[in-house]
Amino acid sequence: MVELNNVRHAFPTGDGIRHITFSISPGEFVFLVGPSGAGKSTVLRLIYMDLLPDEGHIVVSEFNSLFMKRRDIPQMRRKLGIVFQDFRLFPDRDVFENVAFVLKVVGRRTKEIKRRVLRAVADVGLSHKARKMPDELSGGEQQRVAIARAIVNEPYLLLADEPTGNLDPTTAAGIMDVLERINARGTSILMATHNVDMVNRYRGRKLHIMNGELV
Amino acid sequence: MANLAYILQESFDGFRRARISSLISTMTITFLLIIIGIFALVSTNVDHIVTALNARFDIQAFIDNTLDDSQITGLRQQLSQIEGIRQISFYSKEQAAREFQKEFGEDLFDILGENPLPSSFNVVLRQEYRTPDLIESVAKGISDLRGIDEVVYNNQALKILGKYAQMAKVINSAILIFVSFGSLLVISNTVRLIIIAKRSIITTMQLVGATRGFIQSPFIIEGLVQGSAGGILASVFLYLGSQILVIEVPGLIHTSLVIYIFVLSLGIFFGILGSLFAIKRFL
Ligand SMILES: Nc1ncnc2c1ncn2[C@@H]1O[C@H](COP(=O)(O)OP(=O)(O)OP(=O)(O)O)[C@@H](O)[C@H]1O
Ligand SMILES: [Mg+2]
Repeated sequence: MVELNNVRHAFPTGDGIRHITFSISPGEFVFLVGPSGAGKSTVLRLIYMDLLPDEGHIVVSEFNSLFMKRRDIPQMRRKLGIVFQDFRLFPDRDVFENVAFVLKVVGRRTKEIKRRVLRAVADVGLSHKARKMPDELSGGEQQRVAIARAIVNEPYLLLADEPTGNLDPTTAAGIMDVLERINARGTSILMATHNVDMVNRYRGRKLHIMNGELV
Repeated sequence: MANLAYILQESFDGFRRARISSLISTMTITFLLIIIGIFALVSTNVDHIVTALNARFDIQAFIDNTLDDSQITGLRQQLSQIEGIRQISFYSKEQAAREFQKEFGEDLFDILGENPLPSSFNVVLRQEYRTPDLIESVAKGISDLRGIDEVVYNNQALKILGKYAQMAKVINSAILIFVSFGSLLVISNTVRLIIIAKRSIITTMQLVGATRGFIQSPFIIEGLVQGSAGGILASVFLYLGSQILVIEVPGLIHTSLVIYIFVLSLGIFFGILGSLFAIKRFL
């Protein structure tokens, strides 16, 4: 379902990733673990095709990076849920609208949008702040909004870049519960983190990345 | 349907969130459309302006001295059949002599012992016949009548005016095209600045699977609304302006609905095209 085959991507500065080969089966929970600057975000960006491989190829569902057309990219991304490391919330609309956006993109009905958004916002424990603007929220709350937006459309694969990075251990554990629940409903998860201790407390395959290569 | 609702909602929110910049775009469009509208008004009114500034376009037709009163009446009858004539007035030999005396201070009769001046018709043309070509053909029609000795009219002045009018039309059209093109650039630049401000939001939209059409539709709707608003405002200004002018100089310009439709359509066209230009450069 997701497959990276000998993928290399170099930034103009020379940094980047190489020889990345792994796959994720349906329903799997995979951790991508490594220190800062190891290339975790780069791998994720390659999977949601914000970057394209210089070498090798990536398959996501029926999409192959070698044959991607420009207009296929939105279709491919709709199957994914993405928690960006820097959240990427829409600063011009409230929590509800931030989460609702991905459902509007796929043309869901207003009633269903409401039901699903309220559910996702409750999942991350932010029901009481649904009408707050992002800049009225703490860093951890913003991160939870990002998670709610990523899970609201029940994605086929959830890509989570440091989803617990800004959270205290209790809240982080709460988020891990949410991710495990989503995973139990059938969504595959690839979670990038530098927190080795935390990862060891959870079940799931661990991929270790260092200096742009899997080890 | 959910899509359409989204697009409308998003466009509306766009105005709400960016009241000032929406206002600036609308004002920019209004201002440019007023300038364009003025040029368009001048272009379509060159003929009117020429005639209004030269209201005395009449033809004098001198009558054969041998005609008697009943023949003159018949001639007048024939004259009134000619296309393009609004008004005919008769000047008798005696009136002509009085005019002569007024102008020169001498009584011709005293000098010559007779009145050599012919009687004449003064023919006023209908507005739309006051062009060099038409005036000439009407004059020809008059001079072809039996009993008309000579036809006099000031064609030279008309021709010169006509020539300048022609030139004015060409220059005016050139400026019109130039200003229109400039307007498009100004408007698309205004929209572009607005979009650049939303750049990060748009990138995020793309990352979560929004298509290009989905992202750009609200901008196009905003452009459409701003363009229409600008068109309506500009039409109102142009209408009021031309009303004031017409009061000052009656008949100087004729405004028709076409001008306002033109200005409004141009506003809508600018609004949409401006948005498309701006989006195209970076979406
Ligand atoms: N846009 C870019 N241009 C140039 N170099 C980049 C760019 N993005 C990342 N890099 C470099 O590529 C390497 C991998 O970066 P990446 O963001 O994937 O690391 P990471 O594992 O996500 O780190 P962190 O845990 O700090 O988020 C780093 O050396 C980084 O400096
Ligand atoms: Mg990173």
